Amino acid sequence: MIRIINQITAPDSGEVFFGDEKITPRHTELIGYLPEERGLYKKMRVGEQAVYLARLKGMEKRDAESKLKDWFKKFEILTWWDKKVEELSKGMQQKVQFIVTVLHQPRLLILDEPFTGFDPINVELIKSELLRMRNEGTTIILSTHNMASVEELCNYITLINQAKTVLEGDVNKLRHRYKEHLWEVKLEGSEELVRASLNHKFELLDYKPFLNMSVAKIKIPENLTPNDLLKALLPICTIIGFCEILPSMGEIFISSVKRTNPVSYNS
Amino acid sequence: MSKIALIIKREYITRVRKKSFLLMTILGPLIFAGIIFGTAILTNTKNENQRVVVVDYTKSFCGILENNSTVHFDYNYCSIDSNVVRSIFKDSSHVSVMVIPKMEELGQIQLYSKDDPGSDVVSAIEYQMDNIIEKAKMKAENLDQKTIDMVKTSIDVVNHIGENNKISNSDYNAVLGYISAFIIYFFILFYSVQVMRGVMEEKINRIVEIIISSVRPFQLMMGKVIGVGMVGLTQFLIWIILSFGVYTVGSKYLQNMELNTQNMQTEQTMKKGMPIQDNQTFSPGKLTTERTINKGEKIYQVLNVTNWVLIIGCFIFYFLGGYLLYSSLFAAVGSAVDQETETQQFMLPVTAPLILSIFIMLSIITNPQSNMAVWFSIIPFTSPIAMMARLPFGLPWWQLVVSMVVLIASILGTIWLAGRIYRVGLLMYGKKVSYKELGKWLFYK
Repeated sequence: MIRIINQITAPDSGEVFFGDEKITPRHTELIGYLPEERGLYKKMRVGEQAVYLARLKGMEKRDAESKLKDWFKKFEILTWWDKKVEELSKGMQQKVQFIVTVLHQPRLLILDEPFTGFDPINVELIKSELLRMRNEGTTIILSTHNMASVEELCNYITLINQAKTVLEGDVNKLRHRYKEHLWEVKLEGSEELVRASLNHKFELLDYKPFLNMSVAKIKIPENLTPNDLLKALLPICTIIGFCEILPSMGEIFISSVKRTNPVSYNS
Repeated sequence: MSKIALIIKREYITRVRKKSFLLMTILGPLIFAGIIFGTAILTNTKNENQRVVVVDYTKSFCGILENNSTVHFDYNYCSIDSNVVRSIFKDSSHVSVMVIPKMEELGQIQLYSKDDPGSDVVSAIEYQMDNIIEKAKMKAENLDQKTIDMVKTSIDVVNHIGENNKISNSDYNAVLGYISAFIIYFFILFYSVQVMRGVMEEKINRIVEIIISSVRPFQLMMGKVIGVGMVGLTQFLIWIILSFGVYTVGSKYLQNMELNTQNMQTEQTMKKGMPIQDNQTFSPGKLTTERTINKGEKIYQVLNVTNWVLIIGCFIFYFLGGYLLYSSLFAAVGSAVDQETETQQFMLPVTAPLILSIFIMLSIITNPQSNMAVWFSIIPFTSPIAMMARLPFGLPWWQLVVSMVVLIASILGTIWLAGRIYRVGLLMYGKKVSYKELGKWLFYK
């Protein structure tokens, strides 16, 4: 589907619209695309190559050069300008590719697994740049298997399994929809007392000592509220922390795929 | 600047800037000339001098046979029994024992060696023996040396082609046809393979998906094909300029030499392009002496007669035509495979017509107006080479025009075909491609 948007392959059926217009090759200049499998010409110099790729996206030479220099400064890679690509490590090449993808200030940015090959510092750098561009109004399509980054970056997700949409919607709403009324309570007190007081009404799923206190994972049944839980606990222990556990996108992913396709996941 | 121009520029500049291009451009003609002269020299000289020990039962050849670059005659054993001499040298390398039988059995000479001495040694012996015996026989018939020299004749045929009596030299045309056909073969193959490698590089590097999200695959393919083609053209033009320079300097040198060795009268005869003047009385003596001068002059003369503009013009046309035809096919091959080794199965059918035309070329040169020559110089996949081989001999204009039109039409068809394979092949990874698969790609949307 990403390739269809980028006009690399034609759709078997259906149409793609960019804004209100049916998509045409003219639109590729408004799109930035970072493919999953990506490379650069090994024998070419970094700066020269970046300018070339930028000009293929319709930028003027001078404009491309000055913008590239700014980006290279920001990413602290200005010294690489005259190096050959084959002298760079994989992570270094990824940085260059990222810059080239966003350089022409696309209105639509498509990133396929953008974080592979980056160390945590650079992942943060890229993430902050992505969030900045999102806030400036760029539409970003992020294709990834890394659910943690989905929670962190995305507003809206579509979960596709075997070419079919399994789940889609606002990330926060989805997490609330899939919540199982689990609460985490940090407390000081004895396990026996806690168990005894919860026994009938609430379900104690987990109880672990943590530093000089304990962490309990408790499920609240539908007819009761978090306040009822607090009421039950207050007389017997000191409550230090109390928060709801929302399911992670990873868990939602697994449960949705299992639900739609139980056979392939059980085998 | 349009995107295709950008791609052409990149392909061109990255290649021309390479050291290997410079090296190839300068060394290419040298290597080419080196191969031609090298093989000529190698076939003419033997590293090891063959020693031929002569055993002579006639007692008349001892000391008469002359040494040359390949054979060294040894007369120390002339009158010893052949079996004894043979046993002495039976284990020696580069030594042959030559046994000349008694006069009445003379007709065959036996040569005994450990290893085959080669045809040069045998022909040197045969030639000398023939000469000596011929002379002896003529002497016996009371023919004096003057008569013998007069009998020796060598006639050169001068080809007059068409109404203008253009002088043509078949040997020279053959060499010219051979060389230009071979160069065009080399150019087409070399630069088409460069295109294939370029395509594979992009595919294996995985940069291709980034690029074709900016330009259409067809633009990328054509950009590469045109860019590399321009590199080839640049190289060819440099070669032309270089050889024109060498020719100018060389011909000045040649002219100076001739001025020193010839009197003005013969010089003028040659300039008129008429080897035999009408008022010249037929004198056998003159014919033989003139012959030696004639050879060098003749090549020079034909060089001037040859239509260089036509040949170079056609060379450029057929190079570009053949190159476009093959390089687009090679681009398709490059796009269809993941690894260099996989190219083999597709390379063969693509290069087969090229190799075929090299074989055909050899027969075209001996018979440039045959039906086969005409057909193969029109069929697009062989025409660049076949036509270059025929061109120096001259051919009807309509054939040249038909051949060019057919070539252009098939270029368009081939590029279309290759473009469709290329487009799909570029993004196919990890799949071993069969011909059936390729066929399917043609009809993908």
